[in-house]
Amino acid sequence: MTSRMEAKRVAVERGGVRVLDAVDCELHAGELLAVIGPNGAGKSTFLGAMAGDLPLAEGEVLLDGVALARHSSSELAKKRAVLPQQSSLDFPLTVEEVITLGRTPHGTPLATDRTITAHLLKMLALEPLATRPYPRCSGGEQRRTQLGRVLAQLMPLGDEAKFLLLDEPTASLDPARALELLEIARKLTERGVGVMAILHDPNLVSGMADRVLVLERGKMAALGAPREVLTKELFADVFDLHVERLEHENLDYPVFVPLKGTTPMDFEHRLFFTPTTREERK
Amino acid sequence: MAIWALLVALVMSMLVAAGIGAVELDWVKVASLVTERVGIYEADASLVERSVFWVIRAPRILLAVLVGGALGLSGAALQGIFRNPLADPGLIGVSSGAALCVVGAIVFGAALSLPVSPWFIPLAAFVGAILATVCVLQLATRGSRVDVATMLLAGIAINALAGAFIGFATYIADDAQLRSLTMWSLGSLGGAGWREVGLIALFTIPGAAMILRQQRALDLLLLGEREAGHLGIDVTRTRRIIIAACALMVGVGVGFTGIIGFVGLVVPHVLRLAGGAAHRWVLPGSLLGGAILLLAADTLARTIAAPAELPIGVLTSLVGAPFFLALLLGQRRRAIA
Repeated sequence: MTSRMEAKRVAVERGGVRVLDAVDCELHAGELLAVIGPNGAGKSTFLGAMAGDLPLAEGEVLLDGVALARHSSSELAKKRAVLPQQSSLDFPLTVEEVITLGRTPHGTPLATDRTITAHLLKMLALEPLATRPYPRCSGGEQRRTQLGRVLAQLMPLGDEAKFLLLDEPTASLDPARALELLEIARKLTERGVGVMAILHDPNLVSGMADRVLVLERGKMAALGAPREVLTKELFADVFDLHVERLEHENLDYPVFVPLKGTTPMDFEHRLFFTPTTREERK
Repeated sequence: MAIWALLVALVMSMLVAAGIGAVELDWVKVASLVTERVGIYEADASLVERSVFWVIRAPRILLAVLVGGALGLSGAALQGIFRNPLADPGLIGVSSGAALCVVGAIVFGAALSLPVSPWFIPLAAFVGAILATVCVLQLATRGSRVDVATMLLAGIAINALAGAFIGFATYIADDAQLRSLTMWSLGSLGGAGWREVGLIALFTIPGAAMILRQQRALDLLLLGEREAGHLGIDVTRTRRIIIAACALMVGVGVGFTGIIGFVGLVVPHVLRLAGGAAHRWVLPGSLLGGAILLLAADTLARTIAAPAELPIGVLTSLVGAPFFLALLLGQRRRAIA
C-alpha cells in the first residue's frame, strides 16, 4: 500500500452550520492535489480538517490507515507540514531562525539543521535576508520564509512518504514567484511528498496539478484530473464564471480565459441604481 | 558569548553592591569575605564589617537577584505565550491577585485569627497569584485553546477587582495595618534575612528551571499556536507549565517585596532589541538582566537618600516607565523611516 492521507465522509460544523459535508478525498504520496472552489466553499476548512486542527462532526481523517488523532503530535510533525494562509509574527526572529524552527520535530544535530537551512535559504533566494528580522521583511519575503520553514520540516526527503498542506500558497506572490512555488511543489512530489494546495488560478491548476478537488458550498462538486474536471460547464455552474477553454500547440494542458461581461451580477442595476420615489413604487 | 558577559556583569554588580552603604567595603574585601566562608582565605575584616556583610547586605543582595531574575524571566515567558511584547505579570493580574491576598491577610488576618508568621504573607501571595491565574485561564479557555484577548481582558478585570478590594481594605485598616500596607505596597527589599532568601530560592529556582526548559516551545509559540501544534508542540501543556511557574515565582516575590513593576517589561524588551527574539538568548538573558536591574535599583534605593530608603517599586517605575516610552518612540521612528 502506498502511503496516503484519506478524508472519509468528513463533515465540519461551525456554530451548528455544516460548513463541510461528506467530503471523500485521498491525498497520495507523490501527487499534487489542487483544491479549488469559490469563496466560502470550505477549502480552508477542509485543509484544517486534513491538518487535524478542527474537530470533525462526522467522518475521519486517516494517515496511513490510522486516524490522525491516534498519531502523536510529534510523530505527525515529522510526516506532515502545514503552511497556513496567514502567519503573524511580531517578534524579531530572523529569517534564518524562523526556517530553522521547522527542524524542531526532528531533533537532529545542529550542524544538520544548519546545512538544511542554508540550502533552503539559497533555494528560495533568501540568502541576502538571512539575518533580517522577520517583521521587517515584505509580505512576499515573509511568505517565502514560512515556505522555507515548512520545507525544513519535511527534510530529509525520500526515506519515507510525507505530506504538505498549503493554504493559498500563491497569495501575495507575483506570477513568477507563484509559478516557482508550484515548480517547487512538483519537485517535492517527485521525491515522494503528497502535496495538497488551495489555489485560485485555473491555469496553474491545469498546468501543475495531478488531480483537482472542486468544492462548492461545503460539498464535493468534482474530483479528478484537471483536463477532465475543468470544463466550461464547471466554471459556469460552480463559479458563476464564463470562460473560454483553449488548447495551444505549445501546451500540453488547456488554459482558461474568463469572458468579459458575463458575470451574473446585474451591473447595469447595481452601478447605476437610482432610488425610486414612493409615488413611482405605487 | 553575550550570556557569559551578563553573568560576569551580575557577579561584578553583586560585589560592588555589597560594598556600598554606611559601612564601605571595597570589592576585594567583599570577595575575601565570601571566599573565607568556604575556607579558602582568611579575610582581613572587622567584626562590624563581617556582620554588616553577612547579616544585612548579603541576604538583601541575594533577594534582589532572586526577585529581579524571577520578574525578568516571567515577563519574557509571559510575553512569549501571549505573543505580545507588552505582556507583564502585572498585566494579566498575577501580581494584583497576589497583592489582593496579601492585603487581605494583613487587614483581616488578625481578626480571623490566622497564624501570623513570616511564612504567612508570601504564602497568601502565592495563593493569590495561583487563584488569579487559574481564574483568568478558566475564563479564557475555549475548548482546548486559550483566547488571548479574553485572557488580557480578564486580567484587566482582576486588576480592577483587586484595586477596589485593596482600596476597601485600606479604608477600614487601623493605623498600624495602614502603615504596613503602605510599606508593603510600595515595595521594599529591606526586610531581607536568610530565611526569606531561602524561602524565595525554594520557589524561584525550580520555577526558573521549568521555564528555561521551554525555550524551543516558546520560540515555536511565537509563530502561532496552530503552527506550534503542527510542529509537534503540546501547546496547552506548555502554557500551563509556564503560567504555573510564573505564578509561583511572581507570587512569592510579590509576597515579600510588594509589587515591583516594569522589570518584567523592560528587561526582555531591551534584550530583544540587542540580540533578537530567540528564547535561548531572551530567557537566560532576562533572568540575569532582571537580577542586575533590580540589584542596581535596590542599591540606589537604599543609598540615594540614606539613611532613609526609597521604596523600590517607586524607583523602578520612575526609571522604567520613561525608559519604556523612549523605546516605543524609537521603535516607531524606525518603523516610519
